[in-house]
Amino acid sequence: MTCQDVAQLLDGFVDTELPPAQLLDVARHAAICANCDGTIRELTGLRESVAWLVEGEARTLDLSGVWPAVAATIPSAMPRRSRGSVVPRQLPVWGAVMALAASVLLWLGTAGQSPSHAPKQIASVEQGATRARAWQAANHAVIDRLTGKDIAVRREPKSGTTVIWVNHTVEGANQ
Amino acid sequence: MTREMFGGVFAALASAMLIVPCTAEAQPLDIQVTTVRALEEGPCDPQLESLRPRLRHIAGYRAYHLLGEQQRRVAWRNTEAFDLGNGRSLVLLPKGMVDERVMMQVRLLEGRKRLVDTNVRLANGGTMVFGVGRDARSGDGAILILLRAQNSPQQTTSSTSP
Repeated sequence: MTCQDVAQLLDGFVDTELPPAQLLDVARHAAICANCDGTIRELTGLRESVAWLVEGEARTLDLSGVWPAVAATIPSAMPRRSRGSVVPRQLPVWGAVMALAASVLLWLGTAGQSPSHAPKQIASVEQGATRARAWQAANHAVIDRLTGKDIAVRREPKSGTTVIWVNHTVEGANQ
Repeated sequence: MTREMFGGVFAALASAMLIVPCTAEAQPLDIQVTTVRALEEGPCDPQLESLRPRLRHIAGYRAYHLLGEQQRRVAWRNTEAFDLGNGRSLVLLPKGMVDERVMMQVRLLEGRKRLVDTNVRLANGGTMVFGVGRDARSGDGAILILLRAQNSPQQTTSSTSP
C-alpha cells in the first residue's frame, strides 16, 4: 500500500468504516510511514475537536420549552378523538333496532325471490360481454376455508373458474 | 316500545330468517363430478373436444381423457362420497344456500389422506375445478376434477361449463 492509497482511504480509516482487511493494511502502512501516521493523527485530533465542540453546543441548548409547547397542542386534538367514541353510546336503541329490521327486510326481499329469476335473466341477454361476465360470476367460487399440503388457488382469467391445485404426483399420468 | 314488543319483533325476525333458507334448501341439489386426465400429448376425447380450449386455459395441457362422470341428486346436510378411481374420492357435505350460492364442504381424499379440505360457496349451476398434479409448465400430467352443483335444476334454463 502506498501513501497515495492511504490518502484515499484516510476518512474511512479514521471513521473505522473500512473493511477489516483494508483497516489492517492502512494501519500497517502508518506503522512504517511517519508522514501518513502524522496525517492520521492530525485528522483524528481534528475529528475529536469537532465532536467536542458539537457536544458542547448541544449542552447549551435550552429544550425546556419543547414539551410544554407539545402539551399545549394536545387538548385541541382530544375532542376530535373522543367524538367517535361518544357517538355509539348516544345512538338510541330504537335506531339500531330499526336499522336491523330494515336490513333484514331488505334481505328477505332479495332472498325471497324465486331462484329461477336470475338464470332466466342471464339467458335472455344476448350480448357476449354480459354472457362472459355471467360465466365468470357462475364459476367463481368463494373459498371460506382451505387446508391441505402444497395447494394453490387459481382463477382462470377468461372464465373466472376457481381451480384448487394440489401439487401431488399423479400415478400413470403418461399412460 | 316495551320489552315485550321488542321480544315479539325479534322473534318474528328470527323465525323469518329461519323459514326463508329452508324454502330454498327444500329443492334438491344436483351434483355432477367429472374426472379428466390431462396430458401434454396425444388425442383428446371427442366428448371433451368442446371443453378443450377452456381446460387448456385452466391446466395448460393439450390432451384430455374423460375418466369418469357421475351425477347424483343429493340431500342437504348429508355427506356424499364420489369415487374418483386410483384410491381417490371426493367427499361433499352440502350445507345450504346462501345468496344463490351452494355452500358446501369439499374434501378430496387419497385413501385416508386429505389432499384438500375446504368450505366453498359455489354459484348455483357453477363449476369449480380441483387439479391434482402439476400444471403444464412444470408437470407431465394431471387429474382434473370438475365439480358442478345446481339447486332446483327443473327451473333453470342455462348451464355453465368450466
